Amino acid sequence: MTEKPLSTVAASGSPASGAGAAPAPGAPLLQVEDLEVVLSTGSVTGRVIDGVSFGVGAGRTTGLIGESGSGKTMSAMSIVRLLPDGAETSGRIVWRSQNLLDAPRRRIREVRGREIGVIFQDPLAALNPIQPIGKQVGEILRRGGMARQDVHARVLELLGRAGIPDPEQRVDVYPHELSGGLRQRVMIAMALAGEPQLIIADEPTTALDVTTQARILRLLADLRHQEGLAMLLVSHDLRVMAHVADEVVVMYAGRVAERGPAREVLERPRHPYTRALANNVPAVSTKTAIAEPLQGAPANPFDRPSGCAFHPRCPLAVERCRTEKPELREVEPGRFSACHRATEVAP
Amino acid sequence: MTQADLLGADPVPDVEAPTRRRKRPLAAVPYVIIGVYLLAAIIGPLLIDYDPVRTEVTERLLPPGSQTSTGTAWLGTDAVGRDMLAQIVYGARTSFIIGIAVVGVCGTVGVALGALAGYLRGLSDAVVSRLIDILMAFPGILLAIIIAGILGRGMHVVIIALSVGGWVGFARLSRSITMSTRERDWVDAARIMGVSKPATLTRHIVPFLAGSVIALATIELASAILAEAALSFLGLGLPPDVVSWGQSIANGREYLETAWWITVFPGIALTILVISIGLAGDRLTRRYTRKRD
Repeated sequence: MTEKPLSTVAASGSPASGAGAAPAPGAPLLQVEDLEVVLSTGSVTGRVIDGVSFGVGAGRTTGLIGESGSGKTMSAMSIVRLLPDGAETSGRIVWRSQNLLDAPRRRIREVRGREIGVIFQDPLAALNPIQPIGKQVGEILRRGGMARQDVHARVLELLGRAGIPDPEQRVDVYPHELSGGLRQRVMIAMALAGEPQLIIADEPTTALDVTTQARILRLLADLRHQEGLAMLLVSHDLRVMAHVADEVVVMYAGRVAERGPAREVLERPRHPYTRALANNVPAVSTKTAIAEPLQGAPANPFDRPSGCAFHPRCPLAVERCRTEKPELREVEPGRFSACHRATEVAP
Repeated sequence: MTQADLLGADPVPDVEAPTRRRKRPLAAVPYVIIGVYLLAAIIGPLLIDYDPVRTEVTERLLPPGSQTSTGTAWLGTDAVGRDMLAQIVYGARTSFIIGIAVVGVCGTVGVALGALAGYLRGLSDAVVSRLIDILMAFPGILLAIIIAGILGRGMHVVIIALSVGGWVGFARLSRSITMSTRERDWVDAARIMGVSKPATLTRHIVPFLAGSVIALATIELASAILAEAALSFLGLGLPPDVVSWGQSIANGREYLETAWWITVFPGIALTILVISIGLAGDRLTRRYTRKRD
């Protein structure tokens, strides 16, 4: 992933799937509208993100769910312009009434860290292995011109807020000396250092064991309440989503399959893909077989099936699904689904 | 060859201390030898009084162990009566000064250009890479001979002449490690935190070059010392009043049958030093390119 000036290709596509959707419960802080990302690898060109729209309200959590390769991480990272070389984007990413996609580079650098913080999936990889953690947490503060003494005090406070016991003892420790959970807390402290209003958390608990996962999720929830942080949570884990997210956006092959309030979407899916995902979560208490294992492999965004990208794997597919691409439409108040047969999806 | 090994290096240095310490006493030998040479180069000139332009014609071509007016010539005297042991000690100093200066210049320039090329890519990378290609197509010693021939004599001339082609290895190494390190997550993380490009490069990428660059610097030190001796042997670069092994070896050529010690002792001194540095460099290279899990 590298930074590149993002040339804006002509915004094509219908506005139907994009603008004006998602009535955010909080005041809308971030609106992604009709985002497209076109990647070229060698001779192959693919629209890996195809008309994705969602929003994050102030103090709310929006979750992006999907299988690997569904474009959830790339959609999230587009917001802070962290895309592979040669990626071309179009659409709008409205952050505090400014479109970040055509904002100058200087503005992006202000937004990064200061207004939007990022928590990465693998804290061991995302921390510099040869720098003490305190130095890394304090980097953004020093950049802001804070005095050395103040930086030290603030770093200790941030580490404490991220739930690291004995921050004074740990401030000079290297990442490899910490456990996975503590490393993720260091990442969280780093993300908090710039006092952002929005945190993008890319699979924040995937690299952790289950009990640590729960603690980190609890910490993130607490921080959200205390600081009024908005969060964009990227995860493939429906259980995490059900606990943390207010709104969810289900993505498939670079498109939004379904969007709506988290609990409703997960309990009463309006898209066969969401239903399949929900049914694939094995219950811990009962020893039931997985109800409907999803057949086939995820669609390749470089070679998307015609019509609805999900139709080759969909139990409800009809002829229309093969030929006509379903637009994201409001099927119930607040519920959006990109399925021709949305109303027929049984829970 | 060793440079190619380094190019494949994993940029992350060993964070765990190496647990297996090999107990091989012979392993220390190259370091001890280099240490003795360094000591001789630093302290020797303080103990031995030697004037390279003072000649003593009555004491010329004396074999090792002969008595002279100033004491015992343990390694003999040369064609104009100068003490060979003193020449070797003073020559060691010249070798180290030039070798370290060349490696310093090459390392600084090479790492800077290589890291910038690898980090910025695009045009800067194209320019640096083509420059590297051009210099690689040229035999380094030939380039040094031409430059020394044009610029005349002086220690700085030798340093410049050997540096012009010497930075290429450092640049290639730094470029490739930078290119792999910049794809690491912590570089993305730094960028996401709004850290500027220069700060990202110096704080989150360049420190990872250190191990491999030090290993390469050791190898380059040996070749710089050898190249300096070669230039001096050809009578290029150093002025006559600077003592150099290459010069001493060249001076003894005419007397090889009658006074072998003039050529042989500086030759042995040079050979042992270059081999020792090479061995130390190989070991460092192995250490920094060791395959980890």
